[in-house]
Amino acid sequence: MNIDRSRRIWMLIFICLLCLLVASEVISLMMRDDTDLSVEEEGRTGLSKAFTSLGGDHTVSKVLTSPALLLEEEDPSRTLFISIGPQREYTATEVHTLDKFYRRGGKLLLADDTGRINSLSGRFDITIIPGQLYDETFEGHPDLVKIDDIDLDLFTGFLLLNRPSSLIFSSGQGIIRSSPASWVDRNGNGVMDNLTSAQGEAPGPRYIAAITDPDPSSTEQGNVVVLSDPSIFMNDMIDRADNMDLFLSLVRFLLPDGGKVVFDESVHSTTGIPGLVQRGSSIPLLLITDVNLKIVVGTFITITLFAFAYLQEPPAVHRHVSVLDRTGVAEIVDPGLYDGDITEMRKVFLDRVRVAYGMSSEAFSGLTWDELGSMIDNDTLYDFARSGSLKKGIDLNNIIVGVSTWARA
Amino acid sequence: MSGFSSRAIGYSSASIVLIVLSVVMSSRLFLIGGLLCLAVMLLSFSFIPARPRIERDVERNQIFESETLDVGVRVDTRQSMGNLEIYDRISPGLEVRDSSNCAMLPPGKRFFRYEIEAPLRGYHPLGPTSVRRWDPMWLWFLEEEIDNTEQLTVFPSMEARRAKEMLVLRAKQRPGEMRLRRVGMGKEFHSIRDYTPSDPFNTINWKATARTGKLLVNQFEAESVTDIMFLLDARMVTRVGTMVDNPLERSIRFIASVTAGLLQTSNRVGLIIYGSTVSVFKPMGGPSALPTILHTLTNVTPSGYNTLGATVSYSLSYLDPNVPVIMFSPLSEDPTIKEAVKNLIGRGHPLTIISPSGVEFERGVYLGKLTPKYLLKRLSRENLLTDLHSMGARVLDWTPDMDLTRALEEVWG
Repeated sequence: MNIDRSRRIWMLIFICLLCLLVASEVISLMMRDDTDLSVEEEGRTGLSKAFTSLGGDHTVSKVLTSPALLLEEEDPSRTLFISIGPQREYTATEVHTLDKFYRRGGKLLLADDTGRINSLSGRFDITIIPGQLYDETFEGHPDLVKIDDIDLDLFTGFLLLNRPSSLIFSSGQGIIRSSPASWVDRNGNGVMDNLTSAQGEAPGPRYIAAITDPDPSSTEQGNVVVLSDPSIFMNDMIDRADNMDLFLSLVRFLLPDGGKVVFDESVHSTTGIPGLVQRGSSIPLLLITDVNLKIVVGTFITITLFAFAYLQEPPAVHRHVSVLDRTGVAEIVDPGLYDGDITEMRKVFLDRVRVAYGMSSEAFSGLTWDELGSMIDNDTLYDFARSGSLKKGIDLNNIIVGVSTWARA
Repeated sequence: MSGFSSRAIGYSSASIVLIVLSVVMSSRLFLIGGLLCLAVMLLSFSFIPARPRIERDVERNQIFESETLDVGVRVDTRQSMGNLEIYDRISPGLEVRDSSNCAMLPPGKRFFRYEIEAPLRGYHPLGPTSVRRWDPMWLWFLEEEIDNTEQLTVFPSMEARRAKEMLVLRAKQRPGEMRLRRVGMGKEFHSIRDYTPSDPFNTINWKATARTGKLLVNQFEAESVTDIMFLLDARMVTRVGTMVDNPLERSIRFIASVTAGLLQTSNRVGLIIYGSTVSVFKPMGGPSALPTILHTLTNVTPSGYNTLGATVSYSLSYLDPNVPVIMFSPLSEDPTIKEAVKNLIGRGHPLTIISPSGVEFERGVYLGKLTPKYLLKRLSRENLLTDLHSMGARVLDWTPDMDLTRALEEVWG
């Protein structure tokens, strides 16, 4: 039928589009190969030096699948989460989880120059401004911006930045900033222009690092440091100027009594077996994490309820049902013979004898047992007719066969 | 009433899953997919066809068993979007022979037809028609029933021609109207008997009533060729076998065939039916008799456990003396049969017992298997038939393999 055919075609198109959609997302997730700023990367763009530089009081680990695992952290106040140069944005779930981690006393060190981390840092009122920061003080190349004379409680020295960006914050405090001659190339043309607009490139000091204010009402609240240049910690840059000192100082500042340092590798694609584990388990892990688990369970229940409602009362299939093939039984409801049938069988047999001899009921009832015995001429049947019960070794089936084959001698 | 299809669950599940995934994975693509899916569903929901006008065309409303009938259904609705699922209900006692009584149609002026066969007598309803108005994607529907029920009367099948041939052959010795010394609806006085509720008032013998203190009526001599009284067992036990072929249906077909033949040869036919109640139809003739008897037979339903003994006791006052009685019964599950037969024969009614074998029909249900219980019941039946025969009744053991024509020949041939 045409309707059926068109229905099938639409269905097929729908399923194909759905599969395409899911496949494209999954494949894009699986095929990603961004090892820059990964602790697994030992080349100049990797973070292996920073990773191996920690030791002593600190236990160093990395999270491959999702930072949502931090929910299981038993002592957040002695745990530092480090995310440097994430290659993707954090999902709502991850942001929610890290926020929870922070509120339980967790420490975070975030560094990014692209704005990808804003979904997370925005929770702490700190925002990375995309656009390269230029300064009059640089070393060899305008991309390598130099920040001199940093004098903080936690760090003293100078830094060499690599194509940094800047950040703004509405709470907390800036800890490192560029010189008043610096400017941000917001439109990416490499020229200081667009000086008039609010989002302009006018020169002035820009913040490179900021730290959240401790909450006086909460003893458990954590601490977050955000840097607008992740590449100062990469292998090629960490040994220049006092970059390594800054890194170690920040770790010491955030974990003064030592503790656990967790590098977030879920935002970088790793290779080899860890990569496989990372790709294979990230989506399922996300689905069962914290609030997602509730969402997924809720979804599952909703769909199950839909399905149950459907199965409970599915639309009746319109089909003519005929009752003409129905059968009925009355006398042979059970085809076998049982003890309850003995009386009837005896009566049937006696009637059979009477009818065979053409006798009336009255005449037949006047017979003696001997006369009846000679008429029946069969010991088994005679015993049955006389006693109305079955002798040992004889069952009703024997009797019925005997009765049905019995004939007048 | 409304409902939804499994497809709707699929679409809604897909949209929910996509939206959830989009939230979990922060994926705009999933969000777009989920919302698109939802939008398509909602859009489809808004295109439901208007309530259609439905008319059924049936060429006849009275047929005989085994005949077929064309049924046409006209559907008219104005809206062009969506789908219609039309289901023209018919009685479960009918069969759809050709095409289907269910149709999936696009809206507009449409027509579909189907052919039904009526293997079983009865008053069968055609309708109501169930209409499901679906959205264009067959996701959900609104269902309603349009009450356009009609009644199809299916009379029992008749082999009237063969019956008439045999009856004419037998009646040749005394053709035409003749006066019989029997009670009937003639003009010559025959005797006085007790009043029964069905007697007309003008037959009451007021003098005799005044003399005796109880209502008495005059009986007159019959002027037709023959009066025959059929005694039909319509108890629940007559339903053994299949719906179409069982002792009751066989008996009814036999009676219908013979009745038509008898009435065509100017005889009168009466009918006693017992089951849950006892119904007596006094002998009748003329052109209106056949439709009356056919309708009566069409309406018979197997039910109840009345005995033959009670039936005969109740109906004897309705039976004119010496009227031949033809009894149809499987003779099962009734301990009063012998007494009743003795009673009838003792009153001078020539009795023919046509007994469709209940145990044989039941054996058919067990695919012909020879079971111990069957053997017992068969022996019991054989004894009973022999006894009834020896009482003076003419007995026909009608087994399932003996068709109606042969049974007719056995009785009248």
